[in-house]
Amino acid sequence: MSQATEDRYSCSCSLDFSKENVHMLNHDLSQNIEKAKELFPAAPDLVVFRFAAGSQEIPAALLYLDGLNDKNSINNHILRPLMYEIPDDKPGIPAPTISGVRTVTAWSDVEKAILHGESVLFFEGKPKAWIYSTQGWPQRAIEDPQLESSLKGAHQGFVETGKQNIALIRRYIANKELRILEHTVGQRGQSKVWIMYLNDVAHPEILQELTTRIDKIDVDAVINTGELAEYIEDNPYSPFPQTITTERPDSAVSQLLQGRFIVIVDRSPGVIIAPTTFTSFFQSVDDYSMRWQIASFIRLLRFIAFMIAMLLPAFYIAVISFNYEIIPLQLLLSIAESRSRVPFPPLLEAVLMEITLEMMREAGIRLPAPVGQTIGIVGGIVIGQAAVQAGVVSNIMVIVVASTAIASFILPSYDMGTTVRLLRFPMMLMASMFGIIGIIIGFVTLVAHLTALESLGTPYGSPLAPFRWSDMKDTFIRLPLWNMVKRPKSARPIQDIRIGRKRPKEDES
Amino acid sequence: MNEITLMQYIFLIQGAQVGTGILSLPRTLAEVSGTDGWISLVVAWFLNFLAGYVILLTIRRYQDFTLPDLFNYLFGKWFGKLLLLPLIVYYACYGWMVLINAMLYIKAWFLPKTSEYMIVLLFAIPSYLIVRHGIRVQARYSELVFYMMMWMPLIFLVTLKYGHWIHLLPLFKEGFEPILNALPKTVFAYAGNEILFFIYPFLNKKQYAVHGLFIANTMTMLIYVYITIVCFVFFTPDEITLLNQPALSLLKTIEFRFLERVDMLFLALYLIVVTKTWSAYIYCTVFSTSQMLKKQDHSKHTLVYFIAAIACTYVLNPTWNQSERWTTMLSNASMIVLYVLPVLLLIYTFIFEKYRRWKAA
Amino acid sequence: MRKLLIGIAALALLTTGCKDRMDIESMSLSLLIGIDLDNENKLIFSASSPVFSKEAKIKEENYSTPAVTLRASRDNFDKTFMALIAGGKTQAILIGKSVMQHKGWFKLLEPFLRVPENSLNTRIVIVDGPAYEVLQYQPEDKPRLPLYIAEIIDTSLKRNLCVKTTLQDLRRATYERGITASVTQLHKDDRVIVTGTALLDEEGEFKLSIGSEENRLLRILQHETEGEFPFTFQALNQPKGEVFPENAYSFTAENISVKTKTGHTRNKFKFDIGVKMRVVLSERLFPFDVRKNARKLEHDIEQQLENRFKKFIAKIQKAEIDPIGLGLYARAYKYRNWKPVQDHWGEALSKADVNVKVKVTIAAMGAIK
Repeated sequence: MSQATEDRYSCSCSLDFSKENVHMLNHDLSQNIEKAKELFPAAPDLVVFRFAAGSQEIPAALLYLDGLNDKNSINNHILRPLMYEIPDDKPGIPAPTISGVRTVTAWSDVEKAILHGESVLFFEGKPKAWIYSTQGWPQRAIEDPQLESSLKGAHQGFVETGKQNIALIRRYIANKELRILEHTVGQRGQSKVWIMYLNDVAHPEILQELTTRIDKIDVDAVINTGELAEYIEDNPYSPFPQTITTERPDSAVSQLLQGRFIVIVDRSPGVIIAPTTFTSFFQSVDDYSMRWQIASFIRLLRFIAFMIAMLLPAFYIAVISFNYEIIPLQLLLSIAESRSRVPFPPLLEAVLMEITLEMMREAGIRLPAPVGQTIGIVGGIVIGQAAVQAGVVSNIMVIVVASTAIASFILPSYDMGTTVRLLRFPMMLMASMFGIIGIIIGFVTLVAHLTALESLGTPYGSPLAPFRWSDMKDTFIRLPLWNMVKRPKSARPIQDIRIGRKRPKEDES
Repeated sequence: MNEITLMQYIFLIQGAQVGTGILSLPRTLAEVSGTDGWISLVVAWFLNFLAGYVILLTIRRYQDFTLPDLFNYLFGKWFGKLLLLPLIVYYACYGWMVLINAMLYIKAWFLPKTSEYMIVLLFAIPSYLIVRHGIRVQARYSELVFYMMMWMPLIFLVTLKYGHWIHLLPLFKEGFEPILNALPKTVFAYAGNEILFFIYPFLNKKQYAVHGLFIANTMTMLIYVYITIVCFVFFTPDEITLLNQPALSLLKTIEFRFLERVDMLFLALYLIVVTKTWSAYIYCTVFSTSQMLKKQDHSKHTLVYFIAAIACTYVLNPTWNQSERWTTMLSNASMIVLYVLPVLLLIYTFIFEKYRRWKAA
Repeated sequence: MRKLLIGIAALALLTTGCKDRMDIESMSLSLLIGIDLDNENKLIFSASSPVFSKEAKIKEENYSTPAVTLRASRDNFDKTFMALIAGGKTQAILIGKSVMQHKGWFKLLEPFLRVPENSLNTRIVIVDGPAYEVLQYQPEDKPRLPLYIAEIIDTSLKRNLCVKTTLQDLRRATYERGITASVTQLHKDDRVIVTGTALLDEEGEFKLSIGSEENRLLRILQHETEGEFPFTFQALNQPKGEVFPENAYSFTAENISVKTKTGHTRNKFKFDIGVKMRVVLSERLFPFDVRKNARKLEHDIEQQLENRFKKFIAKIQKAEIDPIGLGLYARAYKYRNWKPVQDHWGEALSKADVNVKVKVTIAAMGAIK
């Protein structure tokens, strides 16, 4: 080719002749193609398209993995200019109209490029390859996330492509302080992981800690966000989740604005938010779209539901086995009458009902939609009623189990909901062994554990464990937004104020 | 980094003071000074605050020294360790004593057939999780428990409707003597200022240390006086000397439509408050022992302490009478540690510093 | 190492726990306890307990047995009741009059005070006759007997037909030298009736019974002014009818305020009690213009009440008891005079001067003139 076209095709990569020639591209096109086919022995989806490029009919070949590439891009923007558009005056080969292009000379780069869904162009006589980013793998449309539906918030959820998720977040924060750090995790999986944060708000020590932890991960592949969360968490033995996994861009962004960090994992729709506190699992995006009195009421309801879901079966067992004196006489007589028919001790009865409920719940996840409704009604109502009639369980037990189940669904975070479901059982065990004292000891153990737990170095129990009065504005109740002038202290933000001038009073103009 | 805030400092001291003593306090006071017993509490408050102030005067000069460091500095390496030993024994015994008292209450009210060491094992599980961490976790826990249990004294207001305030009259009916005679009985209830030696170095705003001490002691005093007066108002002067735990017998009479036996619930929840007390003392113990053996991490010592506590309980099987005798012995030791030791230390440091300066000049 | 310890601790907890467990369906709650003395002055204890089994036709089981003390009787009950006896929910303790005619019977109730499981809110009732007869009563038109007895005592208290003495109140009155006890009195012929209050002396011996009207006077003197206080009087200066009582009228006292002043002169105590009440007329069988002559009617009420108070106080002074609790006032305000007589306060009160002055205001007369 002429010098001019060569210049047009060259980029900043340098020809590295110091490596062995075996790993470098060859001048001969056929040899390159052979070598490429050797690299992908059992890959029938590797497409090798030989054609003649330009007015001088130079042999060229385009290699790509079918399915990972966008055919439209390849056909219209690479092949068409090369094969058909022949400019009158410019000599040489017209350039494909694709903006993402680079040249490489090593086979390892070519291999990587093809595996990542880019298309590789070889020319006869050139020992380098041009890589075009024509990625276009199958993606789903943006829809409402399943587990975190909201009434008044945006109905957008993250998708499986990392760059799209970054774009969704950038739509919310159009600020130059939004920084992104890219890491690669997993030797075989090679997943890209991005950490996003606001530079002037987030604390640099926490960023350092997070980066160190991600870099230390040495695994084959990280498939889902949940796995990454497990690798970077503080205490793997704790039943409590130490990071939030969310699929909603709006809740992710609100955490960003408080000084927290978002970790986006490519190929997974969940993003990790760290560091978190215990009370942040009780906050949902809808709280901020409703009137603050209603939002406060619902917040309180969530905390009460948490307590009920964890302690009610245990309390029931304790009261009927150990501390009967607490219940008023009328209730005691009716409970005793219904219990007199049941052959099992209270713990066994409770565990039986709870396990049945858990099995129904797990089965409900896997059932297809039309059948799921029926099983719910059949399982819940009929089995419960029949069990009481048969005398296998007492009807108070059914009420207790049903209330517990409903209460555990109120929590907005799925992770915390599963934690509560799990914690019920040790509580029931303690109650059946020691009564109310067992429940108290279990509760104190949990409190002690939460007080000592840390998430990325920040106290998990905040704003309860280091008691912070100013953070209480958004914990049990939600005070009006104009009241919350400063960011919560739990994430240690280095820039505090987020609301400006005060509302004008009365008839002030 | 290992700092505690002023509020946490206050709640730590107050948590160490309010323990199991409060339940039987009205009776022990009434036995000696009749219905004027609550005045003894006010006098004791004043004395305790003075004693705490003396402690602060001493350690104010050595802002970052905890007690082992202080003894090291004042008395040299070996003699300092020697002097520290009886104090460690005191803290360890005090912590164990509170554990035993709580265990006896739980055994009598809730779990009569469960063995004693089993109950102490139950107590040990959450306490270990707290004490093995540093002072910050301890402080956070104390603060949280205080806020969680803040509402508990309000239950007693329900009984005021059935009380007769004239039981308290006339004031000073037998003069001042019985009031002063009751003072030794308050020592076990008020003991808690001695943890100042261990938490003062970590306070972040040391200029408010005295204010914090005053607030903590006043809160303790108010709670004690409140409970005592409510008991005196409800029970007649002749009756109250018969009841072993007037506060609990008082709660027994409260009945709501949805909840009877409020005293059982109250005692179970009060257990959470008592965990604060023994945690503070056990922390002081294991902190000193690990400092003495030059280790930074005291979690292994904590484990050893709890195992020793369970073993002692298993071997000794304490009864109520034994526990009351040991409590009296421990109160005497407390009197020395709380009232005598700070004065001696203050004088000694005064002379010591003068000697140092004279030597340097 | 640590994992091993955790494992051992968990194992220890699991294997040795649940010794204290007692399921409620396997308990016999003794909801009613009865104490009697038979002809040879031997103690007879009775207990009534609900039956939870669906197959039983009668919902209660009861049993009477002689025993040495209340706690010892528990063994006898356990021998025949379906499950083990538990005492935490006892509603009432019925004590036969034969027991209360001796001094010192209060000691029998010791296990209720000592064992933490038992409740202090049990109602103490004296039965005019044998207690076990009441225990064995099983009416068809009423709920379970223990609940029924608890209910009638509570509702009678609301109308101030009797006092309600819980175990705590009884202990207070027994151990306090400045007050003597008073207990609810029940009577059974073919139904259970609350007849009033029984007044006991300092050692617990039965002294006298008072009916509902005197009970209301007692409650007023005790400063217990909650509930309803209806009175029915026959007016002094109105003509009596032949068949129907044409000089009768009834009223309800509301907003009663009582003040007790204590004094000590000439070697005896002096108590001045001032009662102020607002009154609502509920029944008037004679013609009377309340709008113009209210003062006359008020005067009548005041006089009658003062007379009744005088009679009542004379009664209790004669019996040398103090159910009102004037001893507490004596101790509070005249401590030095109280000290020498504190051990025989009943006697001192019988010599004391107790005056009651009543001031009445008619607040409303109802819908008709």
